[in-house]
Order: sequence, then structure tokens, then C-alpha cells
Amino acid sequence: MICSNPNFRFRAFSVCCMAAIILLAFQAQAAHGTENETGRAFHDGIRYYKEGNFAGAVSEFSQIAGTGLRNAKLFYNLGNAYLKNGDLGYAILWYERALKLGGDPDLRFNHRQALDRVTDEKDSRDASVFRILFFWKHFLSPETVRSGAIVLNLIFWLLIAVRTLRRRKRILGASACLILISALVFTLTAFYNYYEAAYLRHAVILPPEVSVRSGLSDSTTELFVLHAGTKVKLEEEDNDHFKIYFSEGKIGWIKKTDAGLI
Amino acid sequence: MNGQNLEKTEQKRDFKTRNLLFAMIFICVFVIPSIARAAGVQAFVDRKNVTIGESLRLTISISKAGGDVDVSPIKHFKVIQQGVTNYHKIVNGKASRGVEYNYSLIPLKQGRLTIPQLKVESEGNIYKTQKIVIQVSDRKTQNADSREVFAEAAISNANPYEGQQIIYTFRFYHAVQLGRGINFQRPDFSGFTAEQLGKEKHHKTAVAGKGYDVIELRYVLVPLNPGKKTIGPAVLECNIVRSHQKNRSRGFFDNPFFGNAKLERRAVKTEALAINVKPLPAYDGDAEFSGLVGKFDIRAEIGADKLRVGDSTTLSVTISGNGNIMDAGMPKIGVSEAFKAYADDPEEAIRLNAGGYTGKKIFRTALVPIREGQYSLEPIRISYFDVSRGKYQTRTTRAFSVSVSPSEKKDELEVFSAPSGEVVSLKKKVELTGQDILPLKEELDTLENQKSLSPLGFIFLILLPAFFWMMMRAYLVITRKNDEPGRIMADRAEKALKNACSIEISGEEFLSCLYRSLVSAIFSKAGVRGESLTYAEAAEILLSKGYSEEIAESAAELLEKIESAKFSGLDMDREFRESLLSETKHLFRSLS
Repeated sequence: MICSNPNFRFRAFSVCCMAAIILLAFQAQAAHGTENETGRAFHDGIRYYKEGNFAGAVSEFSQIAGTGLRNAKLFYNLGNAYLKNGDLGYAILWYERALKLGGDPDLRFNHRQALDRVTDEKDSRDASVFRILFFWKHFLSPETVRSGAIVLNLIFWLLIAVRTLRRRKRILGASACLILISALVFTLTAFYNYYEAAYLRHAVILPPEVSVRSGLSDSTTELFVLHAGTKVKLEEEDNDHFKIYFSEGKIGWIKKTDAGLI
Repeated sequence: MNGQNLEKTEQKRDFKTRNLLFAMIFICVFVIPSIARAAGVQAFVDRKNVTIGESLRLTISISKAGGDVDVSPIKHFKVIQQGVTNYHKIVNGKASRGVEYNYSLIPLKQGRLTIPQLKVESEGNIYKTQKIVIQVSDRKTQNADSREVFAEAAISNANPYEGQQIIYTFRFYHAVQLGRGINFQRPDFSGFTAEQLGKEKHHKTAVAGKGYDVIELRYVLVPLNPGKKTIGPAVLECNIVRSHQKNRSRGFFDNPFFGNAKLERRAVKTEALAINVKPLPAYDGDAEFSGLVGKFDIRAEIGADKLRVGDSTTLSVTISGNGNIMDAGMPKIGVSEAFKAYADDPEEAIRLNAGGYTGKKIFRTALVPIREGQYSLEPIRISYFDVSRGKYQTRTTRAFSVSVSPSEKKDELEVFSAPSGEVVSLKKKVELTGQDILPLKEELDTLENQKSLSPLGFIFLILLPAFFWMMMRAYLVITRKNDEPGRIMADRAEKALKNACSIEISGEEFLSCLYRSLVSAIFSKAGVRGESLTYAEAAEILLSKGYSEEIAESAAELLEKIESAKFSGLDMDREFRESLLSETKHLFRSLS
């Protein structure tokens, strides 16, 4: 009886509309508030950094990064603040995270400066062979490789289309072959980068000195010692420990708190 | 039976007698000689009264054969093994042989000291030597006359500062002739750096009215750290020449070379020396402490005090003195930023003498002015610890005033120089002069979430151009089909047939449409364009395209019929038109 009353239905509809409008307004207000908060933290971080209060800058930038914002420039700023604050491990961690999102020249320069301060030298025989064979992978950021693959692929198909329209008997000319090979190389590299990002995990040593042990407890044998900023590959994971690979013959366990996942 | 028993009894008796005889022969042949050969062990010393620091000689003599001597029970003496001697003697016509083990024993304390029984193992037997009591007296109470050889050690300063050099002196006194084979064992200088000061010195001296020849050795010691330290005893072993005939006056043939004397091995040791190394007092001076301990001075010289921009001059800073001069580092030089300074390797002239390390270290720095003006070089200061005063001292050089005038070369270049053929490149490699990181990113897009392309999106973008190409290709295939001559002719044939079916058209138009439709249908099968055909050509085309002769002939006949009607000009009745149309349609069905 009540539901069939047209006045009641109109009133209920009006109330619902009003509630929806208020909710949306609140959400917009909340989003605006969060945006203001983030902007304030960003400007405070920059101000602290310029004043030499690097710990304050770290705190402000970390607060922004804590909201889940993923931006290479923000990570670069965090790396700078940590480096100036004398925390090499965290500085390299944030530079590495920034590099995953893009390869800015400033970022590469500062990353190199930070790496120069890392004391652990890697036996780079295997890595150097890999670097020589797949040099472009190390020179170009994943984003550049992806863009390159897409552009080269597009150029290739445009060439093919032109040749098709011109009714050429041989669709693949020398130039098309060259571009096809380049496009394939870039596309495969891009896929490898996706695979690497998804399945090959790396971490950075955070404390000034970490003992890499043969087992999961402090009583196990110390195999070798790593220092802040050293990048390692994660091979296995336990509740509180990572099994890490540093270089040929240098594998062991460290606490999860001693490493930052890139 | 009795006879047999008697015989057995006699046999047993003979057997016992034989056994007894063999036993006696065995004893005579093996046991008695071995008893006769049993080793005799004796221990004896050359003297039983010694002073502290003197040595005595212990000899363990084992006759017949050698053995192992255990000297570990000797606790009150420092034992120095002096070697093993084999001897053969004939005394009263009896020959004997054996082995003598010789040791030098240096008493570690005074009093009645006992050399305990020593175990000697020889040919599987254990022997023990007899105890020997030695009277060890204090050196001071001993009459100097009775000392043939003795040694003493002295230190120049028993309370030095850390880093202060001190002299350790070892003197060996001997009032008897020494043979060859002097062996000196340096004391343990742990806690010090030690350097021998030249070669050993020989001189004569008198102690308590007795003349001695003295061998003197000196070391420069530098304490490495503060605290109480002990320099252990130094030991010297020598061979004293003893004459066989004591009363015989010494002559040329007393020389041991001629066999009239024998050598007696002796060892002497010094007492341990205690040293208390004092730490350096806390430094509170304003100049930086150089780490030098001793007595030092500093001097500075400059090559020229009037320079032009680009000229160079040398600033020489000399640190000289006595002490650890070798540790002197480059003193801080306060040079204006208008100068570039290039330091050279320091030059050292350090020697070791009775006072320890003495010398100088010269630090040269090339100064090149880069701006004109009047400049002063600040006095150079050096702070060191003066051991004689027991406090830190600061030495300062004088200040220098340097006048820098504009470069002469610049004027020359401006006034006289002309471009030469060879262009000298002014380019040079840019080196990093500082180390810092690049600044923060302050752009507002820093706060935008950066989204990276997902793998699916990437695959989509990679496949998209290929998809478009395939679409284009399909379109072309479809559109190109309509352009084909066969298709065009077929369309034309259908269209013409459709027109022919219309009842409004005249007879002439009907025949034209019918002709066009038939010819176009045949041309469409050939895949070529055309307007007219002869009967033979029509039949030939259809036969070449695999149609039966019947169809080819009927097509040729129909074409002939249409042409005949077309060109004869006869009026066509309705039946004839329908008949032609029906035949044409039938042929079309046959051709499709």
C-alpha cells in the first residue's frame, strides 16, 4: 500500500538522490583534502631538503610514497634525501625503484654517485658477458624498450602496408627485414623485462653491515659480509629471511629487515 | 722292560746335559759381552761456583754409545745446547769410546741451585745422572778478579715517553782470550721498534782494577705504546781459550791453532731491564699536533717573492731535529686561492747516530699565481712533543709576502703574437672537480601516479598494426574482386539479360540486349573484356574453358540466331522473342 503511493516513491527517490549527491561531494572533498595534504608534504620535503634538514625531507617524501603513489621523480627525490642523510642503503633502494619506472639522466647520474660509495665489489665475470651480449637491455630503461618495440613494430607494418598497396610481389624488402629484426629484438627484450619484473626479485642491503649466514639463525656460520647499498638477487623466501645470491659462490641467508625489495 | 727304562733314563740325562751346555755357551757368547758393553752415564760441570750472569758447562757423558738426554727437569738455569762430541780415549792401554752432550747453563737466581737427576736413554736402557749442586752468588759480592767474562745491559732512559727514542747498550767484558764462535742472542724488544746502531765496538776498560776487553752493541728503541715493559736478558756465547799447561808462559805456540790449547764454551747473560713508558700528555694547542716526539725545528724558504701570473716559485719547508723525524708529514700551508699549489715528494736526510734518529725532511711545493695582486703566505706551524721539557712545543716559520704582477705572456700575445701555422689546441679533458648529486625534482607531475603499460596492453599495441594490415588486405582482396574483367562481364551479361526481359523495349533493342548478354557471358568465362564475338570464337572460348561441345555449339547457334534476327530486320512475334529469351536463359544456366 505504502509502496504503491506515488508521493512516497517520489519522496524516496528524492532522498536517495540527495544522499548520493552528498556522498559524492564528501568524496570529492576528501580527495581534494588528500591532494592538498600530499602537495603540502611535497613542498615541505623540498623546503627541508634545501634547508639541509634531510631527515625531515626523508620523512615528508616517505609520507607521500606511503600513500601508494608511484612516480620516478618522487622516488628520485627520496633517494636524494636518503643519500644526503647518509643512508646509502635506502638511497640506492629508492634510486633502483625509480629506475624501474624510467631512466632519467639525472637519476642515472645520482644513482652512479651513490653506487660509487658502495664498498662491496661484485665479481662481474658472468654479468659482464650478459651485459656485452644484451647491451641494449642495460642501456635502455624498460619503458624505452617498450616504446621502441611499439614504434618499430608500427613502422614495420606501415612499410608492409605501403608495399601491399603498391602491389609489390615481395612484401619484405631489405629495410623491412632490418626493421623487423629490430622490432623483434625490442619486443623480446620488453617481454623479458616483464618477466624479470614479475619473477626475478632483487633487493638492496639496508644496514651498514650485514652478515650473510649459512642458515636461518644467528648461531649459524657467517659466510660473508655485505654492506649498505649492495644489490642482491632473491632466490628463496622464508618467514623472516631471504636467501640471497650475491655473485658466483656467494649465497646465503639474511633477515628480511636487512634488505629492501626493489 | 727294565733295560728299556734304563735306556730312556740315560737319554733324558744326555738331553739335560746338552741343554745346560747350550745355555752356558749362550751366556758366554751373548750375555757376558752385552754386560761388558753396558753404557756408563756421567754428568759433570766445569765449576760449581758461578755468579749471576755467568754460565757453567754441563756435560753428560755416555760411554760406548749415544742416547737421548732429557734436560727438561732443569728449572733454575737457562739451558743452551752446545753440541755433541764423540770421543775415543786410551787410558793405561785401555781404549774407550763414547758420546758427550754439552750444555751451557746460565743461573736464573742466586743461591744453592741443584741440577737434578737427568734421565738418559741409551740402547733401550734408562739411566739417571747424579744430582749436582751449584753455588750461585750475586755479582756484586763476587770478587771482580774472579770474573773472566761477564755481560751487562743498560738503557739510556728507563722512563721514556711514548715515541721517544732511547738507547739500549749491551757490553761484554772478557779478561781472557776468546776463540772464534761468538754468538749473540738479541733480547726480546717486543713493544719497541729496534734498530742496531752501527757495528759492534771494541775497546778496553778496567773494572775493579782488572783490565777487560769490551765488546759493545747499541740499539735505538722507540716505545710503541705506553705502559710497563721489560726487555729480556741478552745472551752471548763464546769460546774461552784454555792452555793445557797452566804454568807455561804464553808464547806464540799458545795459539789454539797449534793445538796447545783447548776451547771452553761459555755463555753469559744480562739481567732483564724494566722500562716504564709514559703516555704523551693531552694536547690542547691550537696548531695541529704533528705526531713528532723529540726536538724539532721548522724553516721555510720561498724561491721568489715577485712573480708574474703563470710563473711558478718553490716554497721549501724543512723540518729538522732529533726524534721520529721520519714520521713527519707535510705541514699545512696556508696559500691564498690566487695560487695553485703542487706538492712534490718530500726529500729525506736522516741518519742514525748515538743520539738516535737525527736529520731533516724537506717538503717542496710549487706555487703558481693565477691572479695578480699582493699576497701574503701565512706562517707555517708545527707542533711536536719536546721530551726534554716534557711538554708540547710549537715552532713557526716567518710569513712571506708575494707580489704578483700581470702575465708577461699575455702582453706578448696581444702585442706581438701572430697566428702561426700550427694551431695549438687549448682543449683539455674536463675533470670532475667536486662530487655531489643533482638536485630534487620540483615539477608538479611528481605527484601524479605513473602508470606503466601492462603486458596485455603491450601485446595489444604490438598486435594492433598487424590487425590493421590484415583488415586492409581483406578490403583490398574484396574490392579487387569486383574490378576483375570476368566479374565485370558477368555483371554486364546479367544486366543486359534483365533489360531484355523488359516488355517495353522494341525488338531491335531486345535483340541488342540479348546479344550483349550472351557475348558478355561468354567473355566473363574467358575473364576478358570484349564487345563482340564470332560464332567460332564463342565456341572456341567455351571449349577452352572446359565446357562441353554441346554447350559450345548451342551457344554458337544461339549467337548466330540472334545476329541473324538482328541484321535481317524481320518483325518478331511474341513467341519468337520468348523462345530466344528462353534459350538464352537456358544457356546462361548451362554456363553458370
